[in-house]
Amino acid sequence: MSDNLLQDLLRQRGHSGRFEPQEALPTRKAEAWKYTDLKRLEKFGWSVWLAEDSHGVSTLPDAALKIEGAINIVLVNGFLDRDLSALDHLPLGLSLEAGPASEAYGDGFTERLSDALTQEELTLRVDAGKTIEAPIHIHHITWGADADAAITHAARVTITLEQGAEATVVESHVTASGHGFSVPSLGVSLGENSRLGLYSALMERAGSSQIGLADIGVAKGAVLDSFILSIGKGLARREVRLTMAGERGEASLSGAYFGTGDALIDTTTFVTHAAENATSRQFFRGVLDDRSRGVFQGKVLVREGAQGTDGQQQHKAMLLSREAEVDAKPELEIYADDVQCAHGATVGALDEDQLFYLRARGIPEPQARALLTQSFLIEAVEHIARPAIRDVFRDALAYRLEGDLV
Amino acid sequence: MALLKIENLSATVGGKEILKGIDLEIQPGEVHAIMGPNGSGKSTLSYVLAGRPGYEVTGGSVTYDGKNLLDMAPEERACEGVFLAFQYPVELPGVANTTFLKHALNARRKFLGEAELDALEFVKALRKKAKELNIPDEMLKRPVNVGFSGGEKKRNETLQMAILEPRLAILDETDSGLDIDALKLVSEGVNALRSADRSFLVITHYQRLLDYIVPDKVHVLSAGRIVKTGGKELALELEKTGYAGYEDEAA
Repeated sequence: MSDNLLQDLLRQRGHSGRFEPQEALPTRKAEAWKYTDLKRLEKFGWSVWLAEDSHGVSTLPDAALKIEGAINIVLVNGFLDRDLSALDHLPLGLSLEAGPASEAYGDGFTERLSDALTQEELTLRVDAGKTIEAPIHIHHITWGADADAAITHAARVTITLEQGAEATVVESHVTASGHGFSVPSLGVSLGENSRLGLYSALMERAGSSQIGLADIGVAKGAVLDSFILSIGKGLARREVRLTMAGERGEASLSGAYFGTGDALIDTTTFVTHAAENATSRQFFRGVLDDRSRGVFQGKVLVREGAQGTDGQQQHKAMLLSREAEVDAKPELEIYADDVQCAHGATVGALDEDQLFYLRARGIPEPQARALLTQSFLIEAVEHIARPAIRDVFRDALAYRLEGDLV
Repeated sequence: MALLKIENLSATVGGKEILKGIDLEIQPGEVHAIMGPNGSGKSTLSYVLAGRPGYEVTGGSVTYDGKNLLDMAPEERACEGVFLAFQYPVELPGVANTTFLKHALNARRKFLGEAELDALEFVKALRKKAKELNIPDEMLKRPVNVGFSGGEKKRNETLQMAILEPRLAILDETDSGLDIDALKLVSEGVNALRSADRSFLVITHYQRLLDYIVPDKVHVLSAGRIVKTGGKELALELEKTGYAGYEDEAA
């Protein structure tokens, strides 16, 4: 290990991007990282995975999310694996290519980190007017040669839906072996009147860390339905920048998270309304047990001229243990006068009346707790508009809860 | 042997003494009614029997089927066959009625060492019983008690009782908030469950319910004590005189 972790990673990568020579990872003194401490990254000596390295993944790992009828695209340690991916016979209107990475957007730490570390970019495009029926499932897999391996990787995926196109994309993150420190980035562009279902499942094992970024633009009349299921056991931060760029665009950005052990789950959203009569809906639910921590930083910015904006945000968290903690910071910034915006954030514990009611019907306390926890989170999962994906996510959540609570 | 034997039971809620020495014995197959003014301790007695946290027993004993009921967790009591029909049934958003009932029934079967019920068998049995209580299928799919009317909630409690087949059913003001049609429906549901080995403790403020669920014995509870016990005619007498005399007696 050298002077600092960030510089060490940049040196391994052979590219310092937009970082200063002595710059280090942000500390909690930085406003954007006030609640998310990156110190835990120092527990491992991370190796940056390079294009010439070869992995040992021959099939999808057991931990992978399975979606019936999906077009599986597999990235191992940030690189497209052509053998594991269903690249032949892609449906008409869908194209998929891997190439050198472009630049990300903005100059925040996460964007710069992603730019510096990303080596390959996967570009997915749906032609104008085309509907891709089968869900496109992008698997992000961390693989290490042994249980102690600590791999750093950064994949970039860009998704472009041309005018009137329609698609469903799931991106899931799992650990096959070892630990991962990943910096995945998503650049998503919804053309006029296009419709995209975009669903993320973060399910990495303890000791893993992920700092992810999604930058999404919604053009005129386009409809985005998105969901983030964050049920991993390590650190998982997801920054979402959503821009309502065209009039009458609609976006649902929701999520559910569940933390155990010393998991840290951070959802940081920034929704910008830059056009008239667009709608954004954020509905997040989280449950934290043990010593886990949750962070929700949600900002809605309504620019001047974005009249008729309807922007709603709700975050509710439930703490199951005295040592669990959640920090919520909702923000509204409005520069237009004809808008409907509201945000709500609450933190509570399990409802004792509900718990007693279940127990009075013979359901043992641990099972009653699990049932109530699950139903609390499922209220968020119900926001997923695509029934097939909703079922898969509901099952994944139930499986995770059963593993720890019953 | 009595199914339920309460001896000199006293209990506090939030440090305040509510029950002040209750004695009550219920034989298998008997229906007992407990009547009393507001604040006499009726609901407290039902919660103490069901094991609600926060209700602290400070003296006396409760023997159920020869076992110390007060030693058991709420879920154990339920699995042993004690059922409380809540005065205010709790809403469970996100938990479908059917799922809830299945969990409850399977928990009891597991406790009794029986195999879990096959899903198809369960739904069939549930639909049959729901139909008898005029509960539409749609209500079975909805989250437990969410958006239900007062009458629907009480019918739903009765359905749970019918499915769980308790040995001791405690009905806590099941008649409150019910119109006459709903009251008849719920009473029919309860009467259908009456049997030689199932006992009921019917808690009510009004005599009206006892026209439909006819008790073997009526007890008057006042200021935390049973001050009078009689046959079903005692309820009618109370209807005429009100509780005024009993409040004096207890004071």
